Amino acid sequence: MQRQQTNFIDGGRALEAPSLVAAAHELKEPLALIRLYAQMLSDTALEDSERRRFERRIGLAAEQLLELTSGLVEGYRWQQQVLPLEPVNTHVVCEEVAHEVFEYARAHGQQLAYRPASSRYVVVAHRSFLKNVLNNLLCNAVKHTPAGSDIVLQPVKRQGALQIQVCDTGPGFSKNTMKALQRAENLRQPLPGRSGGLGLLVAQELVRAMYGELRVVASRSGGTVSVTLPLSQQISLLA
Amino acid sequence: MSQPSIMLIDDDRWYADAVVANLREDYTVTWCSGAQMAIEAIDQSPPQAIVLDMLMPGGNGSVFLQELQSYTDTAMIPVILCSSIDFMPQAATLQAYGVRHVFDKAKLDFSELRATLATCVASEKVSHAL
Repeated sequence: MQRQQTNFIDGGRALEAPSLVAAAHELKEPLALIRLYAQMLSDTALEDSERRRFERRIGLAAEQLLELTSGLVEGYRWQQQVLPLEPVNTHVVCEEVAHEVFEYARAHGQQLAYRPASSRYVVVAHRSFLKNVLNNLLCNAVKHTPAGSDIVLQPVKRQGALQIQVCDTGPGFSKNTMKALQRAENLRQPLPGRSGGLGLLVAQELVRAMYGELRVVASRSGGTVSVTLPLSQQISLLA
Repeated sequence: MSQPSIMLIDDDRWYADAVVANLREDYTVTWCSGAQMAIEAIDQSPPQAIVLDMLMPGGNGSVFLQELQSYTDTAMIPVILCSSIDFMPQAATLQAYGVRHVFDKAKLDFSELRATLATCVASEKVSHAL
């Protein structure tokens, strides 16, 4: 049984994989971009520096596509199963994800900063799902934030939990997107009003399966998407 | 002779870069990342055709189309929709909003886009002359 094999400390909720339509949407955007860039590189007169920049973007879009595919495959693999949860060092995960997305942000003309918390907090989570969620949220912020803006990844301790925030200075979310995120019945359907926002849907389902909460706060100056997960009690007992 | 001016409205910067790079030899392309920005830019200098995405943050394409139709001077600007939206409104509804052609963003072909733009710009010149 999965429980014994993975030596987990707690079980999450049964995971609802995203619908096929939502998954297809998720993959369509980077694929369309790669196709368009390939067409442009063969049809358009470009300077060398411009050509190199566009070629680099194809690579980054392909990496994003692979990341999405792994997330979706993992989601389907665990469909209707209880997730094995374990203590996860959030500092290590945040550092890894920030490193992975740094180039993608730079290619969009943005600065991505990771602001570590004062302590190394350990949460109860599924490590690869947490990484996938944070990667998803950061890429989404990068895509929807104007060039020259800052994106910040920062964990903040709340009562018995850790809130990992992704703050950006993008245009925020439309009312429809906010409503769709708030309605449980729409979890597995495409989000209206914000292209590329579908990643939030997958992220929300993964966070829910880890007994966590995904929140979206939009303001005129940008948006903050946060993932709140319970802190590991077992680690504090050992301290 | 100056190039015809077109406006591209799309929140996806990388997608927009590719379209601009492909069209810039024949058109002066103004890129706007949102509907509000586009409305302000049109007030300053109306383009001869518009390429519009439907799904954008902070006011989507349909809001923009309604705004465009609200004024006689902008209602005549031909619009080409370029979107990956699944449930596109019916052709008759779109025509009433000045939409001349609809492209699936995921399958966009530059030669088809250029041909459609050439037709739109030519018809805009004729209607302007009349």
